[in-house]
Amino acid sequence: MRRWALPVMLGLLAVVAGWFFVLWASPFLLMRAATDRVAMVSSVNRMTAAPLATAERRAVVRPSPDLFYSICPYDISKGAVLVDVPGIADAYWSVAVYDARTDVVVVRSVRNAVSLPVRLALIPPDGDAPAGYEPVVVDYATGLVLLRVLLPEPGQSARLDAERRRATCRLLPVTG
Amino acid sequence: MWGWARFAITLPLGLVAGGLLAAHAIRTGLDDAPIVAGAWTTATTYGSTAADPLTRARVALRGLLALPAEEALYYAATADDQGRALNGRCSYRLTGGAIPARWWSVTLYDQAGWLVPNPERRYSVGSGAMPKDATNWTIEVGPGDDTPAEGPWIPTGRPEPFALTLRVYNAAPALLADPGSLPAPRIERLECAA
Repeated sequence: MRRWALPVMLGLLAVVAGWFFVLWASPFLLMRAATDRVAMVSSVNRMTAAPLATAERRAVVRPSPDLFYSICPYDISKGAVLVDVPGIADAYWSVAVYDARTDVVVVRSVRNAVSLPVRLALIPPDGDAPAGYEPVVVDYATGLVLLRVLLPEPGQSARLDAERRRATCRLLPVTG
Repeated sequence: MWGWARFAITLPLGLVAGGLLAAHAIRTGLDDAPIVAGAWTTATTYGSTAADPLTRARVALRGLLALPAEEALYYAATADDQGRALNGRCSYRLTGGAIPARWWSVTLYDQAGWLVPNPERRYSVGSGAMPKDATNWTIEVGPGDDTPAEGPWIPTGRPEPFALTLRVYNAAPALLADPGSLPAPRIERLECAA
């Protein structure tokens, strides 16, 4: 029995290690799966305006059927990614940057945008943002940018859809 | 038994057991979120770097890409006011009053977090559907064959458990400071089909 004491103790430590490993890894894996699903109907470093959510469209869980979503899977490994979002009149809107761990890096919205259009430059910790862009440092190379525009009633859908399609996401290649 | 063999048994078993326990904890979802308001629960750490690892993992599974609390509060309900699990073969009446926010909505999802197919393609009701400055409102939720004669309603789509999400965008400062103070909509079960 004594010969099993140490293996069992280490086994219990392994339980704790397994527990924390799965908790740590799960967000990365789930975010990666969602990004891959989005990339099937979108392109990396490009803003894609998605149609309104329905039961048949299953890219990301718990979508709101009352919001227009535009999404940009980003990858800064080849340079800064620039996000431009015009203000959208008479509507709730927000643009959020999510990192690979699913954390929100920054949100700019009708509530807190200091100036319009919102211009964000997604850069690594040692990167530089071009003039006119707010630097947003991301710790991981990939993630998602999500623009939400509230559709309070169907009669406004054409106008809001047209305005949100003016948002862009693009790669600023590294030069030199 | 060779000495190393004991470690070769307990270590992998321990890792697998720990991983399975974590997976189970993640899959139990957000039902035990720390803030309670009536039949609804929420937390203020969704999407935040301040979230603990378990909350982060649960949100990644059940509510990926949530906004931080300053933008939106997300309240979830999986049971009625009497604690009975919400089921699509039953009819419910949600009643509430003014919610201090820019806009709010109630959306119905299946247990995995997807919108539920229904012939009417109705999935939610928002504050925009209510009369302006309404201090009391009602939303009917039930099977598609039980369409109310009038008023906002959401079909349950099929006879299975479901969940409701109450989204509150740009909550007033008092509600944002204390999400548990939400004037929680009541969830009353009316009747259930056999």
